[in-house]
Amino acid sequence: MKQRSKFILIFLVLILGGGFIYFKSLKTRHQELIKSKVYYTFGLVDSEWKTKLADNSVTFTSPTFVISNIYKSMEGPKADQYIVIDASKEELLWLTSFKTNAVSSDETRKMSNDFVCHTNFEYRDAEHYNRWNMTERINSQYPRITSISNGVEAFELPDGFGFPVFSNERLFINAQALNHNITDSTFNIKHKIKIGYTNHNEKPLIPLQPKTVFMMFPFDPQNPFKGPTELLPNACIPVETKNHSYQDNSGNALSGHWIIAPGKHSYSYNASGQLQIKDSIRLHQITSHLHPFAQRFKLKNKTTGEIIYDCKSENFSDKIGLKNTPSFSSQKGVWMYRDHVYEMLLEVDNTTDKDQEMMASMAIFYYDVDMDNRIKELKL
Amino acid sequence: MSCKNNASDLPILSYNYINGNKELYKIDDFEFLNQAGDTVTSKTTKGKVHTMNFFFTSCPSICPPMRIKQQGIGETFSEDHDFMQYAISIDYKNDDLNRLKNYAERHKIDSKQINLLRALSEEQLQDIANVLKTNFKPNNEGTDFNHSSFVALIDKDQYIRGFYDILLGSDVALLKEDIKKLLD
Repeated sequence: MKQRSKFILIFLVLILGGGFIYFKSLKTRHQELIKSKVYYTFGLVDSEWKTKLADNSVTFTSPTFVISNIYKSMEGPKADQYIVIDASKEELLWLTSFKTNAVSSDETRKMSNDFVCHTNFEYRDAEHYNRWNMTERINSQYPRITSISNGVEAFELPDGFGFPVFSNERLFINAQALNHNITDSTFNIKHKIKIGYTNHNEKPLIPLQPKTVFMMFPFDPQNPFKGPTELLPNACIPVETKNHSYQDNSGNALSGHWIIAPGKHSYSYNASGQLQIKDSIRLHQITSHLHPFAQRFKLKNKTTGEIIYDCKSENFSDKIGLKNTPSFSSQKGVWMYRDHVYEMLLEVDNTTDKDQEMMASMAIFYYDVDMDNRIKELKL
Repeated sequence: MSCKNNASDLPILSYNYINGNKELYKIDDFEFLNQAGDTVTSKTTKGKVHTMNFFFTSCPSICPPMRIKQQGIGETFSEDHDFMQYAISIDYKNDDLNRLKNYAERHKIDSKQINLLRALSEEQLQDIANVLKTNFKPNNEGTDFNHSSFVALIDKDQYIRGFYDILLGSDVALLKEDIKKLLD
């Protein structure tokens, strides 16, 4: 009997030891997925999303995120949720503003937005476009409405414009925590995510269509972390090859997350392919998603030389993080043309003595003429 | 407020705008043959929660993972006789009943959970695609078809109550939740 207990004990120690070694071998984001699963399964922290509907806004509060480590982009605790604004009725609403705040887990104190990696707002394109009988748009692009990210706590669409959804339409939000600086304590936070809207019955707005365009650079999938070579002089070093990796039309590997060495660096990217301008479009809003150490992010009409958007992002001087990333917003709008070339330009300054990770995307909104015509035809 | 309430929370999505006014319609006007050669019509589906989607047996890309997800859904609801999945072949010229039957046998598709359906004309296919609010088209060489990975969820009264990208794990989980709501 004593012998048997001894074997069981050794077996358990081996299992626990093996599990620990396996856990430690995982990347931070995979470790956090497991930790969150344990916290939520055993009820150690709040695992449910909450919704609060008010006049012309709805606030979603995330489950608790336990901050116990340094989390760079995409590494921290995260939560997803399908949401509806008001399932009890079917009214046309215009989404006009987006805001995320980190708060204490008891929801009484506002915390630093250093703990917000991003909030992604997405529509479900089959439901969204089928409601308007615009089936041809399904699968035409990634169905993201917009993103809030570190340095962009909130933004509003230009006055008079919005993104149309129905009150009982399912949307999707994804929230992820960030922590570039605090290593000496473990604490809990939540994200409060507020969407502002206008009811169509109160005030019809002008529809905008969203699109996200992002910088990406080539790498050699056979030798991804080598960097520039004679064959690929503008190669980047990808953060990893599994996620945020893409292929161009010729099958070349590209990465949307890349490593920046200490010091100043500049990048340029031809965005015309991603913009896919079929006819002229009128641009009204741009919100950038950048990582710390980004200094300046521009959208340029290379054909005319015009700088459409010049985002001078502000970094904290005493810690790692983006303090402010200004958006572009215009009621009048800026015309963009099918036969013009558009370029994204990025300047970064890695002021640390270590490699850091970079990405650069623009969530843009432009006038949606087809949707405008469709809405005007309907008796809503 | 959340997505975890009841069937009435799921909007009816089978509607068109006629002269600017919203008009609901039912998925109740079709006639296909299943892999066993039985006729499947709206009388068969009435009173059942069911899904409908497109596929074809020689599809090399999205159909195999779609089929695996659907078989998983079938297993989840294997005890619910009021639930059924219908996969309609868009290659009706090549996917004859014999081929559908062989496909079902080869992939161990349980006919109590999933029926593979064959249309008899292009017109039938276009009609069902229109009411399911999806589309398909042959590729440039005419050797393959482009079609979506969405399935439509249809309630016992034959209204569409949701569209789900069955290749996304999160959408499959949502679809299962919604099927339960409609079965309750």
